[in-house]
Amino acid sequence: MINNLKVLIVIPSRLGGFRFPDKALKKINGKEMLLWVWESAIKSKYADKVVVATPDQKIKHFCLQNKMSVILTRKNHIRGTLRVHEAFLKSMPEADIIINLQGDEPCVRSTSIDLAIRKLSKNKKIAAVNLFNEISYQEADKDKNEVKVVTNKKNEALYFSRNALPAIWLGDKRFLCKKEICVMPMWKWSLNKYAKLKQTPYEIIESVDMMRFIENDYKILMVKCKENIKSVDCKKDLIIAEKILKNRNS
Amino acid sequence: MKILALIPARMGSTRFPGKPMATICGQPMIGHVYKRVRSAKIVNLTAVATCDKIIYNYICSIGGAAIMTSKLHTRATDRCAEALLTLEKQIKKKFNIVVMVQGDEPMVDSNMIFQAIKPLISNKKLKVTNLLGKIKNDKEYHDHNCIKAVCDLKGNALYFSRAPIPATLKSGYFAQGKQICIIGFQRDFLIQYTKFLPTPLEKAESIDMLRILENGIKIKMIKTNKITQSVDTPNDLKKVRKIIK
Repeated sequence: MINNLKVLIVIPSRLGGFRFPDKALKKINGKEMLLWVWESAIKSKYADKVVVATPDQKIKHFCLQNKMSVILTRKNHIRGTLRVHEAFLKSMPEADIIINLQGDEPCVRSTSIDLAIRKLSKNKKIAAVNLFNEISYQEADKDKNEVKVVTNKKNEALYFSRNALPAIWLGDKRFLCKKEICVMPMWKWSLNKYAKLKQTPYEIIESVDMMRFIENDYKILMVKCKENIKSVDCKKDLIIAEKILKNRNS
Repeated sequence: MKILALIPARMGSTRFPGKPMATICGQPMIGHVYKRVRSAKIVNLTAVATCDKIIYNYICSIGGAAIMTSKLHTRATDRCAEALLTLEKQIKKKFNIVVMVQGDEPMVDSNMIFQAIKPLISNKKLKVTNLLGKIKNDKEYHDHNCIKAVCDLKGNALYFSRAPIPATLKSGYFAQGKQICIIGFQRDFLIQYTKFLPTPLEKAESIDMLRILENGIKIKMIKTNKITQSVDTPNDLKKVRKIIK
């Protein structure tokens, strides 16, 4: 609860595709990735409820074993945000703020989740808040799995891309780029709206959920995350996440 | 409606020094652009905005109008705003709409200029328009000289980049377009532009229009099917020579 607004965190999670099967249940320093995310989520000051949303029996079973609340959702959602929408309607339709906290973000701390929630709660007009990390242009150029974002002066997102943005032409090569971190609080109105809108061209081309809002002229506020985050898309990322989390505990 | 066309041009391009005076069929490129723009009936006055005497003298010699501007501008838009104010003082009249046509678009035609201006006449709230052309091929998509644009569902620009956008895994798919530097402004907004400080993305990419988007102002993109060839390198000039011949 924040300012009398009810808060629900949904963690959409799937076993993953061919590239990295069973991703959600891969262990990081002896603990499953999904459990890392769950433990951060339940430490949130504002969350009234946390729920995992999954189409996979195996993940559901894992959740029940670990006393995590879980909702079984349709298999064929084309976007994570739509899976979150289904879980929201089934588990806590009275929620005012719903956070899409992706299951492949094991490095996100509860304080960062709360920061994102707080920023959204102050502005009824923006559709969503996203966190970001600053990275070098060289780093931005390397990894197509990471989503890069460019923003206006108010830190509202202009565009999200898998390619490195901006292009440094005559500008300073030390320019700090922004990568998206998938901690995405939304209002009830905006999440409902999202589910009603049609898929948009760049949402499909870039494979970025938030583009559906942007292309329909809804605002997304980007908030800088102070801690270093590595979202996990492949085995290599798992090792980086392992290091980040190990250093934190010591 | 008083409509002014301004053509910013300078000799000191890093990629192609002396570019405006390079010849196409025996005539400097800037002369081609000037004559083509002047032929647009919708335009009341056409002038070149330059910091170089050689360009100024040449335009005067063909009976055209030219305005000298400061050497210090890094953006063509700032150069045009200065020229607008100088010109208005000289003729003691204010314009309503200004269309900026880059001196390196020798294939501009009067219809393209009409396209850029028309939405500004019917909608006073609209501040800026750009033309949006088709990206011809993979080479152009990856070329840093070619500025790519992505738009929202209503045709307003979301972002401009020299990087290939949108990212696509399938080559040969070009849902996006390229910016053609025929840019319409409401007169007052062109002055407003120079009052904003240069912005981070504008400086990083070296793209004038990003200053507008970073300040939260909309730019309407207008599609054109016309094939253009802007001149950024001597090689581009060879291509244009062939087409214009």
